[in-house]
Amino acid sequence: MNERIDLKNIRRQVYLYYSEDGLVDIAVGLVIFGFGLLLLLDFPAFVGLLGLLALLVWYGGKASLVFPRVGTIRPGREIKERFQGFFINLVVIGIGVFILFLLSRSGGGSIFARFSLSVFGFVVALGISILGLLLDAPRLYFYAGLVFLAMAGGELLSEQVTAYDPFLAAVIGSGAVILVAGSAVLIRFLRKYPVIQREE
Amino acid sequence: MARNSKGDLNLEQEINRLIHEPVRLKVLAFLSLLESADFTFLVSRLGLTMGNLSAHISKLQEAGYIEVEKGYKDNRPQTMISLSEAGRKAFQEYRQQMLQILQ
Repeated sequence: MNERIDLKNIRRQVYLYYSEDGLVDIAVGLVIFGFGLLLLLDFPAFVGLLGLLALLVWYGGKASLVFPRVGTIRPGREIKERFQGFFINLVVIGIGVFILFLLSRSGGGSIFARFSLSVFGFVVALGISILGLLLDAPRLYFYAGLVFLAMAGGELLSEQVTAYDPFLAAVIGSGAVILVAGSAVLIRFLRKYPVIQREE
Repeated sequence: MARNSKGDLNLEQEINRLIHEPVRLKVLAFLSLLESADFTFLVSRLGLTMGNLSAHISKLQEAGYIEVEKGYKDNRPQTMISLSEAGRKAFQEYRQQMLQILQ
């Protein structure tokens, strides 16, 4: 065992518990990939179910793959307060999205109306970044940048490309990249931590 | 803090040897951030064998620094470990002592 005892590193290891398995990545990738796919297949009404599906995948993965390997923890006050802060930020972002949506519908000349998909991409990227900050998982910043560039780039290309929808292609592509990256993190996790067969 | 006639810190008396041991110190450091953690979590984070960790847990439990709760979750045995009030206080005191000694 490494004899160096560093409280910052121990704190980091506790936060790593929530992101080290790659299930958060897979859940985020699934939502973005599914969002693009449902719009492509013209089933927008089912978009709301993606969150539920992501939650099921995340919790199912935790229960079947993660808990037998690295156990469970109940967070202390500091971590709980950090999570509460995240949900407050999420609500603020949700309200922001709603306001942007209203602005985009209010007039054709509005910058929000003209670049509504890019603004949407920015808000989604902001949410992923806050999740990365919360879980101390810098790779989520990369995902946030990827999602924003994909949505903004897709929207810009939409003006020139008509053979297919570049926005949807970019969303599906970025979701697929995050899904693959999350799967790679999960495989690394499964290799690193074998199942602990029995207690004490 | 206790000092000898020359005014130097009496380290032998001051340092809590039970906590000073690296594995036990790490266990307390983890638990100080958590409401509770199960045995498997500590095994995976500390990279110890179950028997080794169990011995350290027993010593901390005997000292009253941690509380151990055995039960079952999803038909699997689960041992949840949490820091007691005495353990939290002893850990804080140890941190303060180390900071003062190193200053």
